Amino acid sequence: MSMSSFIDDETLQEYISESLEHLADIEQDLLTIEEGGADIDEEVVNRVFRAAHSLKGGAGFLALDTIKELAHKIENVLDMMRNREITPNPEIINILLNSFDKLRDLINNSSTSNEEDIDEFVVALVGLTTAHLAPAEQASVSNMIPITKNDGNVIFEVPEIDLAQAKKGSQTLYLLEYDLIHDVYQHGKTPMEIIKNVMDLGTIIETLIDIDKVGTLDDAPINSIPFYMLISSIIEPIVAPDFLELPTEKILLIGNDGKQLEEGGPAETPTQDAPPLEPTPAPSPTPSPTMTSSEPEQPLTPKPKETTGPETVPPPTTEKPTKTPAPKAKKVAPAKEKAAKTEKSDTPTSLRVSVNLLESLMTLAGEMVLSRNQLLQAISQQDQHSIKLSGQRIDLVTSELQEAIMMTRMQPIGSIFNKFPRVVRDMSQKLDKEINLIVTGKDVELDKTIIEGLGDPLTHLIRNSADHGIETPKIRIAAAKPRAGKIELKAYHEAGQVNIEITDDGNGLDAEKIADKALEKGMISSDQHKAMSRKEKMALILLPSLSTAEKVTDVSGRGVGMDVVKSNIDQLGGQIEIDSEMGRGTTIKIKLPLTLAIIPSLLVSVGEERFAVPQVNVSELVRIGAAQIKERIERVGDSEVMPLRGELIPLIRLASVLGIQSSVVDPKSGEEREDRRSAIADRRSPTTTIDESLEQTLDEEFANKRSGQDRRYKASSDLNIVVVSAGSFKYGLVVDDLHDSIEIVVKPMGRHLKHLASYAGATIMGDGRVALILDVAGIAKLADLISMAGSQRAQDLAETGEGSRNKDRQSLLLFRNGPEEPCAVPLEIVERVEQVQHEDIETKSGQKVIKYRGGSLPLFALSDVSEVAKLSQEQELVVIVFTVAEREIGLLASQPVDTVEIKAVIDRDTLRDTGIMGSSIIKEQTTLIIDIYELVETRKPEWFKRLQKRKEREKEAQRHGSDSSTATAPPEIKKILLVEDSDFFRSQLKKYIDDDERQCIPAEDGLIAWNWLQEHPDELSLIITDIEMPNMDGFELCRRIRNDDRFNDLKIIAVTSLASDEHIAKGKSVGINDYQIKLDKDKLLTSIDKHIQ
Amino acid sequence: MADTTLQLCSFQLADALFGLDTMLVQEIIKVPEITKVYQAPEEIIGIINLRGKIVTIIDLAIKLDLPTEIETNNRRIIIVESHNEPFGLMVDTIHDVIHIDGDELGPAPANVRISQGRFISGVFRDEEQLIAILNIEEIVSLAESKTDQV
Repeated sequence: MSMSSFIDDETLQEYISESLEHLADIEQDLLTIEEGGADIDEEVVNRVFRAAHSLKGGAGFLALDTIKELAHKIENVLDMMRNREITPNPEIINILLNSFDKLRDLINNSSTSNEEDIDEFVVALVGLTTAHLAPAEQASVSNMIPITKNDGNVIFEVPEIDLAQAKKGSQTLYLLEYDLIHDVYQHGKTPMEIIKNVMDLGTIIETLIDIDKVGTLDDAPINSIPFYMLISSIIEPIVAPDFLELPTEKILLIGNDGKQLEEGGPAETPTQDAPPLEPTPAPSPTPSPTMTSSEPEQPLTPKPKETTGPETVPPPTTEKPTKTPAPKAKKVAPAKEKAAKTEKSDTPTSLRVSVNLLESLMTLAGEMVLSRNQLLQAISQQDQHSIKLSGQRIDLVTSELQEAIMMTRMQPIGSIFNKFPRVVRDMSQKLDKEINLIVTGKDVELDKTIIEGLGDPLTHLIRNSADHGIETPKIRIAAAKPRAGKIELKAYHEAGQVNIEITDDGNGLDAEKIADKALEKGMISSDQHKAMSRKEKMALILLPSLSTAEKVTDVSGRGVGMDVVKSNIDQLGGQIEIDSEMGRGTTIKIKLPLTLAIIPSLLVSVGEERFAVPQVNVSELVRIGAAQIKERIERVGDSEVMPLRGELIPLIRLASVLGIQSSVVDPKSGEEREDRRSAIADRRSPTTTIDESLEQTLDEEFANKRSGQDRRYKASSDLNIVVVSAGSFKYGLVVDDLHDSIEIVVKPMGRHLKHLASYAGATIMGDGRVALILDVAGIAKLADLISMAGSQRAQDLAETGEGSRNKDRQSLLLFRNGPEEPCAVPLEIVERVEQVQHEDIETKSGQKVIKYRGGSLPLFALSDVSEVAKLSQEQELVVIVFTVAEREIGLLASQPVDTVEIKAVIDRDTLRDTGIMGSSIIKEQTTLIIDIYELVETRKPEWFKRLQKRKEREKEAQRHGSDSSTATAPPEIKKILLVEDSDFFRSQLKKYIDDDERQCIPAEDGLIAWNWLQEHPDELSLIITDIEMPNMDGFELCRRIRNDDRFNDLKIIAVTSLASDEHIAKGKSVGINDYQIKLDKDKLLTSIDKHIQ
Repeated sequence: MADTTLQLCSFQLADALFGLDTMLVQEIIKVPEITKVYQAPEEIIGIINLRGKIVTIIDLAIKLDLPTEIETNNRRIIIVESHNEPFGLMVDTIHDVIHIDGDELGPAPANVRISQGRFISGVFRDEEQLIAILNIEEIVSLAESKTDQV
């Protein structure tokens, strides 16, 4: 027999929502109590006590016995605390916090709460109570006293201690016998009101609904449900009936022994006959409002409340004289229905709105109705002026209404901030740290949906700060920091957004460590690693599965998290920034929009279709002129990329991804629907590339022209690209047209369309048409552009693509040959750049020279050796000075001269010529990369005699085959293994090194080098290796070499484009003998001389 | 079957007559501009704005696997509601509202042309016509997509 059938759903809901409200502030209060220690703030303890007490009272009535018991045990502890019998300490507060947690849990799942096991908590709480009692009193905890009526009925048993506690302060014990039908429902009251009233007057010790009494009635109409309450109160027996709204005979005085006092209530009460409900002048202010409040409620109950007695039970009850205890049939049926509903979602989806706001909404709604009436009237009277006026009015009212309604969605962020003091407290205990949490800006309001989505990420961040940020006191003191760490949680408005900052004064993040880890896990390339700013490196922590925590703790960490935080914040349309200083602390800043319901968006179109792209995702707009498409768009495999300021942006054609056909969609034509069907199938693989689709659209245009259809398509149109960022990566969305930026109201899509990844929803445009809102992350997924950072992936594709093997980051000197011929040379090999005048250039025996530093500098021009423009008289000339073959030479060039550091992807085929290594796109211009060595070599082969000699020898050696190479190679030539993945650097290095005595054996990566070593273990005199290489890097190669006894004496020189101290240290640790900067020729040669054997 | 009279909103789709309990019909509208939703299931024509609500429009002909007719001006959209979500059903021509006796309803005959029998909750037949009564819940349910069934 389920007791819960007594409980109508409304009462339960009321109880749950009230209880949760009581519990909301408990943590804060408990923490305050903990802080106060022995210095007890009675006010606060009382507040917590009352909360527990209310929970207990309601639970007793609702037959939620488990909740009641737990609340009761908590109450006992708090009671002793306020009587100063228990001094709060962290341990006690812990128990209380955990118990309240459990209590909240039970209340949230009230329907199953009675099956829950709470022994653990009860034992702890009772333990507390017992431990703090005098030994004599300890037995009283378990000693049960039966509460007995004069007729001998034992109503319930109560622990002696409860009675003893209750009687403290000269309180009187009453046993109240309410009848739920007569005393409660028929008075238009709810049981909760009764309980609340009683709680205002005294303390409830125990409650009971006497179901046995109800159950035994077989056929007779149920006419009473007794509800017993044992309370202690300071009110005098003489006034009790008035306050308690009970007839005197239902109020029994109970003695210390639990027995009804013979001379109790009735005897002592002269006002026994007074009608219980007559409002007597109240001696204390508390009960009077209670009394009066019952008056206005009367009209609400249609039943005449004077009528009492068995015959006047509510009619539905008589209809159901079944054994099931359904006495309160009034609400049984709807209650069941509701119960079914509420079971599904335990968290009520209701929202509290301030009465003021609600009233202003009502006013506005009234205004709206009024305006509508005016409008209708004006329309029927054809009164243009009035129509206009009403229109304006409605416009005004609508905006106000919208604003007010949006306000109802706003909630203070305090609702989530409030839980953090507890989180931090628990963590600091667990981690043995001292942490102060400072929370400001609780009143800042945000949209309900944002608040809801913010809880998890913020909790994670706070936990991170406490766990990984703040150090243990020992470390902090050693670092001359205050013993207690500080975490600041701050919310504030800024520029129409809400900012949330989490600042800790802990250890800070090690940007390098994060970047190293990312490198180790292959999330970034070594070049990226080198080029990234500190802040960029820090932002890497937001990538999936990167965590700086060296050990996994159970508190936070586990290596996941920050990426989840990031994606949570992304979902809320927010941004996250991390700033940190080693040893000083970390600040994480989250910027959030005020609401998600209205978002600024960019309107784009493809064919006739318009789409909205949320502005938060748009990072920039790029338009490429039709003529430039071929140059600006590179194709890598089957995908297209656009170089943009040194980054490669993968491109996605919206039309291909969505399968948009270029023909006009006319929903009214059945024929075209056929069209659509086949088209979608045809386009299932979105491999259409830009060039193809341009051709395609051209074809289509002709077709359309033929069929006489009006198509708004410009064949020669520019390419419009919306560069969007979806989480951690960027890509370019190719659309037909870019339109305005507008504010849109997001509307959810129907159930058939919700699951479509490409859309985030729909919106209604000013013209009443519907536009779809694009989900840029979803589109990236559809286009298979996922997992890695998009630009990174494009980069990888670029590397594997043909003719783009060179990828090391290079500093280049940019200059012009002809006015429209951008050229570049590696900055490292440039000695100087000098301005010269045309007239200073002399020509001596076919060689141009200028006077330079007391000698003459031979000049070369690119046009000497290759098919490029000759420098004209009009151009401002410069001479770029190089050292080639141990001589200084000058290259004639023209302004403007600039430098740039890029990852040069060199096309070695298209524009290859003598003296021109190839071309690359630099600053969005095709730039010739000059090979100055080749240029000079071509012009002055005699300067390179030694080189040539050796080349001949090499060829000879190769003719003899590899096996015999050892024998035929002149013994005086020392072999140097040159391991370098970049063609550019390899050829440059080889040119430096090769001479009569030394010969480079090139290897493209560590693995190739290692394999070569296996075959020729005894030939080498030296190894020169790059560090960052595919397949096997320089470190690994060295490790292998050093672990092989055969190569004990072999020296290794590492070359790198940038040698950081860390690199050098790491290099030394794996056995690298020397570190040199690539292209620092002199030093490198010196080092070779030193180390070669 | 129920012994009450039933009001049917009857309409034509291809060459077949269908009926929908008028209680289920929210309104009937002319075909407005429809926004196509690419990558949506085949039977979804698109979405429209119905006084501020986004309504998904279902092409009944495709859903019921009937040949789609050449466009006429008579096309209408019947707005129905299911689980608090409005849907639009595109039909070829709206006919009268007919009153029928619940007793006259019969089960769908086995040879009914619609391959998807579950979309039909019953048929009504008199001397000259056969009207198939649609089961709206089945039609708007997500459980199936026509292509899945093949």
